[in-house]
Amino acid sequence: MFLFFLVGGLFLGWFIGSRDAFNLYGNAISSRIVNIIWFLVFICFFLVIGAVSQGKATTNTISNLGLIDSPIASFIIALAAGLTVYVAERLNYHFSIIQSLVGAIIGWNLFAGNLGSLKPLSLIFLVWLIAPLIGGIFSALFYLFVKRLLKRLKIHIIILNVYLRYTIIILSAILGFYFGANNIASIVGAFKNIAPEVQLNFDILQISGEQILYFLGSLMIIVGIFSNKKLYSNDQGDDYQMMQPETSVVLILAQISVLVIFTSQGFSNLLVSIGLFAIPLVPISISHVATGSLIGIGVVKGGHEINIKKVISMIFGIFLTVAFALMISFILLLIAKNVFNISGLGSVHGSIENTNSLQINSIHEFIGVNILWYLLIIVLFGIIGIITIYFNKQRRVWQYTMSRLNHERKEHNEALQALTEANLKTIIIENSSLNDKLEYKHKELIYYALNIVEQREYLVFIHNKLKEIQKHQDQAELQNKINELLINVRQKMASTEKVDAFYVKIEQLHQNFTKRLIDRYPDLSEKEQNLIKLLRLGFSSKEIAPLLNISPKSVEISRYRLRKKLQLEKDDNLIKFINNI
Amino acid sequence: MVLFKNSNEVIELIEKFFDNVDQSLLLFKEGVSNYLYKKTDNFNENLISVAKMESNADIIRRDIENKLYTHSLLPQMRGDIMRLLEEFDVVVDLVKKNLYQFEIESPNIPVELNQEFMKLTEISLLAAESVIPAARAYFRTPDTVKDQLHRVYFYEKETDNLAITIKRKVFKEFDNLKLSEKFHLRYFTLHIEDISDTAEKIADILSVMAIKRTI
Repeated sequence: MFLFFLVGGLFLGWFIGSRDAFNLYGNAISSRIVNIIWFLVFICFFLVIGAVSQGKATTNTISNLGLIDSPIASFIIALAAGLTVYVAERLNYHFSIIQSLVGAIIGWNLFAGNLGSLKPLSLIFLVWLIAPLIGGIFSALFYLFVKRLLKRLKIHIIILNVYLRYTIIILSAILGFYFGANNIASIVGAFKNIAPEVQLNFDILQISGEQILYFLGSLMIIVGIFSNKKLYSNDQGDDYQMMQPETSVVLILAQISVLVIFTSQGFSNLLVSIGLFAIPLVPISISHVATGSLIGIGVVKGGHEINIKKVISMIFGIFLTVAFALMISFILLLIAKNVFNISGLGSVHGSIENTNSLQINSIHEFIGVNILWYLLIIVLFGIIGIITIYFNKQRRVWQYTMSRLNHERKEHNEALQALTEANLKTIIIENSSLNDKLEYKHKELIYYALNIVEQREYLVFIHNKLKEIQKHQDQAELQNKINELLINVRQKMASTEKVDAFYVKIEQLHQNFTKRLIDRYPDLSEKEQNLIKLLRLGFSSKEIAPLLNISPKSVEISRYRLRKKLQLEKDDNLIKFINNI
Repeated sequence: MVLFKNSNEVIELIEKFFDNVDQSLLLFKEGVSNYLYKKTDNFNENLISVAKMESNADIIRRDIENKLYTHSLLPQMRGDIMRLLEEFDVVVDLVKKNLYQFEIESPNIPVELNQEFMKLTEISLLAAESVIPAARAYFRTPDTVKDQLHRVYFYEKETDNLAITIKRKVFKEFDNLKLSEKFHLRYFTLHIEDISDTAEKIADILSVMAIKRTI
């Protein structure tokens, strides 16, 4: 029977899993650096541990609002909360499951006339309003820190991504732990006082009825998580804009910090031990914290003003959800009592004073003495902080503008300098080419000059010889001398000395050409090699003939033989072929 | 830590890819200079080296893509990074294609225009060369990317201006050239301009990527 009534609470668990988990991990998943299924399994493990081990404190806060001892009343409260959630979802306004549950419990208190239990309500509302603000402040601070750190470290994007992947997985597990501790209150808050008195004894582990409730509740969250197909699909549409993994880390860190503050008994005890006040352990709306964190990042990032409309709708949503749940719960209880004649739905069983839980004492302490001072200090720090940030931002904007201006000037000058260098390089290349040409022409001139001198000398030599011959009277001797001169002239014509020198010059002009030629065509004779060199220089057959001391027709025949030796086709151009060797 | 090992491999490959792009740009510059000043042998050597560089760049790019996807590295940004590398690959392709066009079509560039063509090549390549450090910066210091892109836009604009000057000169001053030769020269001006245009396209992609990278 108890299990049947528990279904209402478990439905809330399923809803938390399918909705809040998406809000919580959507960013991490949308960053696509984790394997979704393994990631969710890993988180769920920590979620269960968090719910079972840390869920008690926050659940106490909710259950102390109304000591509900009737399973039917618990069921109706859970049903009212569920209906509120359903309507809020349909109307698409900012709401939270915990707020609807608190609203439904207030409705039960009104129905039962048990108003004494509602004392901590103002504190709960205060926490709900403060939590997103703290989330915003934390996310802004973490954002600045992470940004500065990354700028300084200059890690390569790929390595950074690996680090971020591991960081997100670890942080998500911690977040899962506190998510379980925080949200379990929404599921079992209405049922805690009617938990079966059972005690399971294992050798090393003892589990109470209350812990079984936490376990069942966390299991329902897990069912909810895995029933949300949006989490698996790679295409999350407009629900989540792709977020940088760095931003996801900042958001998760901010959410963890807020959750630690409001759900961790250990943190609260630590503050008490160092002489500060105890933190009221209140289950908070994680989606509100996430929104606050996003706004915080947006403000620090610049270019994003605080969306006042969104903030108002968030605050309005808190009160509207509570009021709506209160109304539904009250009406359902009235119907149950008057129409179905169900009795024992609401009775005054003890009050807030009867409980000895730590957080209730701390609430009194918090509200009674120190709150004004603390609030005053916080406001003062806030104002100082805002003024400092404003002036700092102004100074930075000015510095940034000036440095940007200087940088742009420097860039412009450097670009101009590079342009001039490019110009200079072109001129140098042009000059070097002109120098080459000049040198070639110069050599050519020297060669011609030498040639002219040599020709002149030879002409003088022939002139002297002829004069000498002219003096001879003897016919036979005359003939002899003429023959001698003819031999000399023929030798001169056949002399290859100068031609060799000429080829050496060609070789100098076309470095390594002969080597490449011999490498590719080792069968070529010396004469053929010379012919190729002359053809490469662009000499015509007519010009080549005297240089090789053969007739132009012989040059043509040599060319034909060369083509055959080089295995050229009919259409192939010999000169082009030689140029490409 | 297999993930770190794979990441380091990809980082090395990316660096190698950029080195490859840088070297092919230098070879192109040399190649054009050798063509203009009739150093055929050297030009042919440049041609072979650039062809090797191009096929090398393709292999490295595919390797990077393969590693990024098989090891699930940078799931959010790998699409952008691959697009960036593909655009750089386009530059290397252009360099190779242009040099081959010089070799195959052997444009008749009047000696008087040598200097202008050389300068056009230099400036167009300066645009491409300036985008490489910006791309390298994207991986470590994305904040500085935008500052480094000014040069690319500057050189691209200068290339356009110089190309217009050359085209005007070709069509208005060189009456001895045939119309077909003038068209040919215009095409070669465009081919060289293409490199700086692609560099500008890469700069645009990079600036958007840098904005997306800012957390």
